[in-house]
Amino acid sequence: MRDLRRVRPYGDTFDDGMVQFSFSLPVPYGEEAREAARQFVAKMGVLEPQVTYAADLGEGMTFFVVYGKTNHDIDFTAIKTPKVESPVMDFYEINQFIRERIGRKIVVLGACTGTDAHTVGIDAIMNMKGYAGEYGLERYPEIEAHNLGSQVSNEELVKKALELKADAILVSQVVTQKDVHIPNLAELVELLEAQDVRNKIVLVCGGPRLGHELALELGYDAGFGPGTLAPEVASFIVHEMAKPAARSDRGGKRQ
Amino acid sequence: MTNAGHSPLWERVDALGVRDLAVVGVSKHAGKTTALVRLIEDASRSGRRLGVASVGVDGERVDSVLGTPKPPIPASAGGLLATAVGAMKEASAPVQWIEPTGISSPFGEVWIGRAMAAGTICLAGVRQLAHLLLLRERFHALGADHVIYDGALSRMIAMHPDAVEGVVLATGAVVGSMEDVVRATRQGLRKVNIGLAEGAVARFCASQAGFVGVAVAAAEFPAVPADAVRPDAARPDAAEANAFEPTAARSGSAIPDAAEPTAVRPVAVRGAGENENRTPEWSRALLSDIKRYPGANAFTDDIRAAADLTERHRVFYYSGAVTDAVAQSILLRPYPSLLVAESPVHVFLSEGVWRQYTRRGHAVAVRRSARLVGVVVNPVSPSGATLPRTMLRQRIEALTDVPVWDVME
Repeated sequence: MRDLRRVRPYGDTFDDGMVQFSFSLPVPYGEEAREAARQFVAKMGVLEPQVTYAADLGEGMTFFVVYGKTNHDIDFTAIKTPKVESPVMDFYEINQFIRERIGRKIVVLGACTGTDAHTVGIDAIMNMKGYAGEYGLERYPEIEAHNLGSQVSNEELVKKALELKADAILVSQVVTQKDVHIPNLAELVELLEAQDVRNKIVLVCGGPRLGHELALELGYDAGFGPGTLAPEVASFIVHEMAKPAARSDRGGKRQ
Repeated sequence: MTNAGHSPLWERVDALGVRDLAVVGVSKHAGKTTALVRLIEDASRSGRRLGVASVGVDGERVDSVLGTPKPPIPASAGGLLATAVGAMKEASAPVQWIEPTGISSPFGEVWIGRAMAAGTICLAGVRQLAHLLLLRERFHALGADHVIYDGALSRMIAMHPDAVEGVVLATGAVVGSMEDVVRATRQGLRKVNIGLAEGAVARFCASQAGFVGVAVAAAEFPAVPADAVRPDAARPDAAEANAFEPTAARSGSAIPDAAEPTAVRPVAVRGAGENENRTPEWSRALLSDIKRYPGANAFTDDIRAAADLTERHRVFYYSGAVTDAVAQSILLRPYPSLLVAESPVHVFLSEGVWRQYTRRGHAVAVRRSARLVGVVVNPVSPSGATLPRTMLRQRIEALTDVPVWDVME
């Protein structure tokens, strides 16, 4: 039984602490470049850095792969990350839940917003054929799913949400530069608030750099990372819709 | 509240008669949390009872974007807080959980609690204006003298005039160079300081009377057409839930009855049925004609499409988001116009469009806004970059007539 209170990277053997870095430096390819990469990784506190690969990218740029060792460890048992509480249902259970608990078809909008043109994430959730053996939301008989595609402006998305009377909006941000996805995601929330509809719409974001914590900070109800499948998102949406709105009486359950 | 200890921030709050306030930043890491910490510590010394919440995540050890350490949030014994209980695992303050709020989050449900002893707290789970309105009511009911909301990232919703009366604007070295900080702060101040419609409409009408020879007319556009969003029928207890819709909770006044055209109410009325009678009485006396578009959607309908608007229609009341598209729809009208937004948080004009818009003689005003209490500057960025603190404060002081404090002093 391994000690999960002291977890270290695994390279060739347990606890050898081996890690790998890949990066580019704006220096011309050559021995000086390799040494620059080695020193750079050493400055990060990594032991025994070895440049195992270097490639000339042209334009005075060089790409590197560097191996090294680290003495740090992580207490895996102490890690707590926020998770959505709603149970994940399957395709049939979700449709039945909508029929019984909501009583009408629900409208879900999905879009890749801002400058992002990478629809792989939103397509996996929305498209009828789905992903990894799970149907996308377009296949759900009780969900009216609208995939608006890529590079949708926040204004356009809000306009569509109002036109279609959306119950939920899914925003995907896969590839953006200089963290532009953060103000872009925040602006959508602020627009919905200004339109006085934020508390009537379940708002979810997703992408490789998004999790529940950042989603909450941005004003979203949840944030799903890579590998999320349509039933996880749909389960969350329908459970959120079935919950009573925030209220100030004492009706809630005590934890 | 007992006798005040020396705290320039709280003295200014008292002088303005502000009860509840928000701390918002011109960017992430501008120093919001540091300012919040200062407010909490100073309040503790002067015996003020606070209710504290954040529209983001505060008090966590490292930042969710940069991974940099964040300042811990202190709580003094007796202080109220609202947070998802699951977020408090790393906090040290013992908390008596008083009541649930019904606000769910991936950290668990948000509860209101009272710190039983001094320690640190973590604030998470609160994220909507509706949540802020609900908590404000509950904090005061539970004995808070002041409610403080910490903003998040570049989100401004915490300074909604229904949520707070005062706002502290945070700015600092995180933005970039001195010139970058000054530029971003100027933009932030411009938004917070948009003039109130109360004076702006009168001035505008006076300025236009000589040219037009007739009174100025206005047009009103609602935030959302009456049928734009599904009713909450899907929610199992919609009727009860609606009791906590923002409008009822914040304005304290009934929603106007559309069947009573003379029942004009002075602002602050939103929600179903709000589309009627949004122009205050005093404005009606100045404006010769008010056209209403209850079926229109201010967010998406171009003013140019409103064919029955004449050249006399020069005051436009917009209840929803005032975006670049809204300003651009007015931009080419051949006469000066006054665009009245609900509040500064409803204004989304980009720098370029704002400049273009005002250069053509048009103006922007807001019905209501939270009072600017002051500006806090943070000369240190999380990456370690530092700006000359005296010069930074002087440059920001030159932008505003409100007090400017160095949050690190």
